Amino acid sequence: MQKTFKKTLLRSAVLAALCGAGLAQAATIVIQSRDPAGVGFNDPTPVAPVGGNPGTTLGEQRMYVYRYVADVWEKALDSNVTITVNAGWQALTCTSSSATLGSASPWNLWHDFTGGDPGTWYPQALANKLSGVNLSEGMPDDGSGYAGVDIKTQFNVNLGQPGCLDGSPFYLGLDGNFGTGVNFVETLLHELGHGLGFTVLSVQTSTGKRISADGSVYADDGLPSIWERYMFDNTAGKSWLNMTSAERKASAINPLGLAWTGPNVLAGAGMLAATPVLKVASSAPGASGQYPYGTASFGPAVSSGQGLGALATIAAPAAGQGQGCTAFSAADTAAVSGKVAIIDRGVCGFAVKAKNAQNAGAIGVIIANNVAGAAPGLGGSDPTITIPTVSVSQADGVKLRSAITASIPYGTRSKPGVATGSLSSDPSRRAGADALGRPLLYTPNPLVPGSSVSHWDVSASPNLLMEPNISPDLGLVLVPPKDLTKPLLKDLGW
Amino acid sequence: MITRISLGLAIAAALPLAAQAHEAAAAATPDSTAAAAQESLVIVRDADTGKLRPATAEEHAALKALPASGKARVALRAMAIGPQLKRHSSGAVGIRVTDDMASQSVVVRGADGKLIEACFASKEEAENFMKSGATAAKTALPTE
Repeated sequence: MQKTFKKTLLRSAVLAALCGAGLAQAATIVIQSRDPAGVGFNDPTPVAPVGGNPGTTLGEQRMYVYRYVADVWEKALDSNVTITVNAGWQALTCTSSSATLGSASPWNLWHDFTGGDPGTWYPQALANKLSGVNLSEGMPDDGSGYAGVDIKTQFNVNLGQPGCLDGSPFYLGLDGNFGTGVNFVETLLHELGHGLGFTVLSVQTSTGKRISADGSVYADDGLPSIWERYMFDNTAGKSWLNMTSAERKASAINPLGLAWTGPNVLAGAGMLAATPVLKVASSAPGASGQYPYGTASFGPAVSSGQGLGALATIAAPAAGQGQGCTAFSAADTAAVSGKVAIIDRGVCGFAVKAKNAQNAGAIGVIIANNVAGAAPGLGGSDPTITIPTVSVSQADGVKLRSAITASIPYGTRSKPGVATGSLSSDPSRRAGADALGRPLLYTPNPLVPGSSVSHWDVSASPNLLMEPNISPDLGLVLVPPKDLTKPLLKDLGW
Repeated sequence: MITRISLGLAIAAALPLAAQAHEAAAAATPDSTAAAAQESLVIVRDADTGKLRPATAEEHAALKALPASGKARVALRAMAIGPQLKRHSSGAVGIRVTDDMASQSVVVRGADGKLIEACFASKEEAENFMKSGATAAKTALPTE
């Protein structure tokens, strides 16, 4: 007992010395439940311990995961000011096949505090850390009872019940064996990341406007958020800090065009995998090249190092018809037999085009996008397709066809020259990064729901915690070579 | 319930929620993200909760029926409202946000039975995804 007391005294002394010297300490996160008796964290329903979670009631298990995830963040961050996470379990929007899992956000924003960049919005937990004080402390409550908390969270109390993603509740184990359930550990880890500051925060991306200094409106002359400091649009050649509202609005939907330039992220960006590329070889000067490609959910899996074969193109479709959507003509069949058919996207399914090419004797298919943007992932299914199919961007499709044409003279009269495709990887380009190796933010085409600049782009590999799609293969490590979450938060000031 | 849509202007009691409306052509309040996509942006302060929220269709129509001078007065009032403004003794300025601004995680069971979990930057985006339901899940990977 005496030894423990001495140890405590020693710890206190060290802590006081650190604080006195202005040094940061590991963060302390307090989980503040707002659930009434018998609900949410207080649900007394008996449950068996699961996946390392020792709780014996549903409420205990829910709180155990919250604490477990909070501990991960505590170890990752430094702050002398306690971070308060308000948490509740509520009935959120549901159907039998879909549900709102939960939500989180920094609950207070601050600007012009000691230790922060002037005229810049910060999330409260970060503002507190930088200023060394709890900026909300002593403020009269606004009647909500949690007006001063740093992060407010709520999760769906009905998940898995009839009418609410039937049969797929939150998995409350810690081992990742979520089966048909929803991995609550990763979902909460991700959402708390947003609450701590992984968000554009005060910019309305649909208009590009920012919250005004008095917090009353989104306006053209509103204040920037700290997040904007490291957002650089490669098309506009500008940081978000130097853009008009209209420019920010355009940048938010500029696919693969918005990079993160913070030094901590750049230092760790080498963890991203080399970009898979379609390598085209030709004897024609300037016709060889490397092009990013997308993969298909049908046909055999493809991999780097795989040869595809000579490339071929087919006739343009008649007006109103899609290329490759019907059985190939005799001329097209002759053109693609034993070769890889390049076919434009459009009108009919990718799998339909691949099957028609296969029936014509093609040994592979390359779908060229018919709209601007990246090479699309190719959905669909047809178990009878046995040839590989990949996709390229619209612009790269034009280059591939040019390579075919340019290669013809570089052969013999009986055997025209060809451009040959194979799959490889380009170590000079990182999956999820721009040409300079800067990780990209998620800025999808507006036709894709969920436009946002508050996530990493989905092209990142390996999968990152703060991508918009919460992947099943995520872990708890927030630093390279597994993840870039902590480096980004450090760029913000954490 | 007293139903208001302007400076003391009483309108039909058929409106579902008591509200004071503010129209701002170029400016939206931070907690109005749900209304941000509308061509004509209308924000109302709910008389029951005191919070700003997007106008209902009825409230929108009622506001449009106001004479121009009435709209101008209402817009000025809207600009003067600072939702949950905080001031620290150091001079720092803060605001409390709303649930509409929270990022949201949603899940949809796709046609193949697999769960697709996605995070959206606002309640508005998440609800749009939920409304599109399985359709959105399928289009996560286009098929044509």
